[in-house]
Amino acid sequence: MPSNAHSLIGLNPDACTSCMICVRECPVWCIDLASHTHEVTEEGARRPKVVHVLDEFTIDFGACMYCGICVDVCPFDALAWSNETDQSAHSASGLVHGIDQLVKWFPASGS
Amino acid sequence: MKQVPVEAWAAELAACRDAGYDVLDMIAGVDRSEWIEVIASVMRTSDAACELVATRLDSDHVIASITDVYAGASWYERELAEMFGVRIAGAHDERPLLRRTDEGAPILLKSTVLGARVLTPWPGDADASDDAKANRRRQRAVGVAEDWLVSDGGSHE
Ligand code: SF4
Ligand code: SF4
Repeated sequence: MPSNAHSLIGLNPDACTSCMICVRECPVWCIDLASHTHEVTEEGARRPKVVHVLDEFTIDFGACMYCGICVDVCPFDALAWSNETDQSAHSASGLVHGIDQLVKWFPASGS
Repeated sequence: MKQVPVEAWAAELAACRDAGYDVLDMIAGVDRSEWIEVIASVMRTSDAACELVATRLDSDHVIASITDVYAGASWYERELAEMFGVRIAGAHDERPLLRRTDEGAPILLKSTVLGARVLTPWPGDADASDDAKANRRRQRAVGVAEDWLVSDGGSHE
């Protein structure tokens, strides 16, 4: 398969800041994300800072057209093309994948 | 890109074919708001040369069929008819392309309200954090024109 082929998309949840950019840029609206905020006070900091914690992140591959816009727009390289090529499911809802699956598709560094 | 008046469309493409451009790559429509642009891309397999021919439909959205010039033109002409409301003059296949019927407004015209885009909740609308929601300006989804939304929030319920 050519190296620039578009296949499944993987997520690195540790790099994702829940910024919503990919969700808003996806032309077919097939990315969904839920997060919450909490405050952390770093040592020496005068004020606590608000951090987003990612709770859910799903891609509906039944609707995804593999355009790659989400991969391109993510400012934190939290989305990447996977080397995995094929997937099938018994129902349309089986093509919706959450963090548990997407993290497995995130290519290991260097690959 | 060769720009031709719409009356010369079929003749220009016939001239391309006679100049050895043996394959019709595609015909595309573009809604330029004031007019519809139609662009044909043709290829010459012997030297991989490409040529683009464009025309604009100003008031009458009618263009001559080129199915007798290029095999395969029919698919794109059906697309032009269905998605842009362009009438194809001359013998051609009038079956709808992707929709089951030809009812309803042409969906690739900018003036056509896409019902699903208005009725489906936009995932980007839910703010990343519930507590920060109040502070953020409401965002409009890409591809949803301002006047599609009757009142703020009303169409997202
Ligand atoms: S590849 Fe395109 S369609 Fe698929 S999730 Fe990313 S932006 Fe959406
Ligand atoms: S653009 Fe990247 S960092 Fe932002 S929400 Fe999407 S995956 Fe996460």
